[in-house]
Amino acid sequence: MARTAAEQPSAGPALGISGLRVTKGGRRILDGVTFDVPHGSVVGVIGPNGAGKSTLLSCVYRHTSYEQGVVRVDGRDVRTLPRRELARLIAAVPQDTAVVFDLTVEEIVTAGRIPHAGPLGRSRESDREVIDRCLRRVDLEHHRHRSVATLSGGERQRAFLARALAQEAPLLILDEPTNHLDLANQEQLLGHVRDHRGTVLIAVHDLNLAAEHCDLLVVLAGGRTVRTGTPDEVLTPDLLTEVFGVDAHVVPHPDSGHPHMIIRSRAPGRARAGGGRDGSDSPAGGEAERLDRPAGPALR
Amino acid sequence: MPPVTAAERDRAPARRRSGGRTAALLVVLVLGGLVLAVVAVGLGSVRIPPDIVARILVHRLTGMGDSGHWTLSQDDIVWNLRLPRVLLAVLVGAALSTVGVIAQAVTRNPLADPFVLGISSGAALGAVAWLVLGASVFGGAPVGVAAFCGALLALLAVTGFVRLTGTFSSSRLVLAGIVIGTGFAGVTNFLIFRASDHAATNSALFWLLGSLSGARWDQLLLPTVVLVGGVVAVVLLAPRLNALLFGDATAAALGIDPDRTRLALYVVAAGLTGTAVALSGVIAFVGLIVPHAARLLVGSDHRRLAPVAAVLGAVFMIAVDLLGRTLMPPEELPVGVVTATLGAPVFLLLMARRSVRFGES
Repeated sequence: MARTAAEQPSAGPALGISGLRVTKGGRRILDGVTFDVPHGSVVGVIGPNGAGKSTLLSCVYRHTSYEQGVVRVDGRDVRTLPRRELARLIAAVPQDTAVVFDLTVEEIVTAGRIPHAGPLGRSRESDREVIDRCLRRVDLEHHRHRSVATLSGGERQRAFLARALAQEAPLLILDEPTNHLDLANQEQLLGHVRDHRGTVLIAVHDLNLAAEHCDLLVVLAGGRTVRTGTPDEVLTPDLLTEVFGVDAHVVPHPDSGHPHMIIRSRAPGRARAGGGRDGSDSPAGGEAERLDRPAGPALR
Repeated sequence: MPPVTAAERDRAPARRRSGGRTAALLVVLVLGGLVLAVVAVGLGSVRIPPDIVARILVHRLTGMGDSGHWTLSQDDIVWNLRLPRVLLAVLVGAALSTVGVIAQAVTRNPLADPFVLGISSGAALGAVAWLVLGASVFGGAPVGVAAFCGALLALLAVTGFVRLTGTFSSSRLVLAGIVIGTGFAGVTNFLIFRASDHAATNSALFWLLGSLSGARWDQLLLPTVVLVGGVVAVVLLAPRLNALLFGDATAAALGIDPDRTRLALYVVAAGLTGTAVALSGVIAFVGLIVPHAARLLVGSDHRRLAPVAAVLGAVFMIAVDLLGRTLMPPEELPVGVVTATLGAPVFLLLMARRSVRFGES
């Protein structure tokens, strides 16, 4: 993607969020959220359901208004920017976008050119080139005339990604783009995201995907930033217990060395029956024990 | 060449949508509409051959031709009775279809039409109040202004309710629209029921059925201005309508303020509906069917959909009014009766076709 003058990395972060507070219906959704997204990085937002991930992202692309705090893109307060200009700096794929009418893939991607369009919304030759390039980047160039109704979940999500890419914004925001996708489609989609040469802020539900694909992680819980850092720094057994309420092993991924989480087995086994959590901590032993047991009806 | 999947091969020919094809389609529709208009002007209780109609029109418009070919009464019927009526059909059909396009995009609901948002009921209440209570209640303003105020009031009531009682959602909008629209219709019927003047009651009742019979030249100028302005506004707002189809969050991410866009569209919709309802009463189904038929032709991109739906609505209305006038002479069926009777089966046919989707995926 060609970088224009507006996209020249400045000295500061690509995105700076400080003291963000959002209250909806008397409930505080975000409370003092603060973190930076460095240029060219992929930053993952993780946290349990209801932690405020979607709200946080929608504050950045200005769908949700916040009563306190500042969101800066390349040092500029997003509230001082006209919406159209902001849409040329920040592109987003919000969560679970429903398409009710019979749009084609190409029509979906064409919508990404709206922030660049002339007064009559006419498609220009340069728009066509961008749309073609974005369709190729998500491997949908042969499906451009298909209706969204005939697309699989993965193809649909890639079409939405292409729409956001067509905005040609240096900052890309994705809200749980891998939801409802099977493993192959998750990998394919996040591969396309990694190929994006700009900065990415992405909410991810699956912690292993987050560990594998993000440079930095921001942990949200109860509307607060609990921790920020590299996946290695953030994804510790303590944090998983404290924030996600799960008991997990964290092992290095055999290929990448990134942290990989394995939830501890809760299946009733003899090793656990007596000592519980603080009993024998050998997973291998527990596994062996379980394999000896005939599977009860509860396990089916 | 890249391999083409079977699914794509099957769909590709019908689904190629381009600006050039849309322009050609618009030209065909406009030419077809002109021919239909000449036929419609000739048909009725007194039949006038199309060539005579064409000569009268050319003579009236350009002064060319020999006026010895037709009688004065033929000239009167063509120019003073039927042509204004055909033009009114054009205005009302285009206006209601455009409002349907707006309503469906704003609610993100393919079943929306001017009725669903309560706009038609509001406009009807305004117009009936004007008819029954008298123009003085509205400071002597014409009936169209009363209808516009009613439509806008209904829209603001519906959207205000949805906004103040929670976050925006299309299903809440549709539900509130249906309920508030029904309430407005109740007040309208109450006004008619309580009216002391029987002539006013009768004219209000007839007018509620929807009819183009009141067309007069001197009533057409302002509606034409409103219609042209409304259709141009929707074509200009087409990219924003496209953005709204993806939902508010995506629209915001595309640099569109969803609330302000909806507000602008509401004003346009109220203006168009108020104008159409003031002139012709309540005509059902046009605003629902025509946008879907236009989608079959050019897809859901509003840059193409908006102009095609407007022209298609105009042609459709000329045809439907012609049917109403000629089906059982000398009786004349109000056009609203024809659209409602024909509209239901036509809509079911559209729904049965797999190429029109109604929200399912």
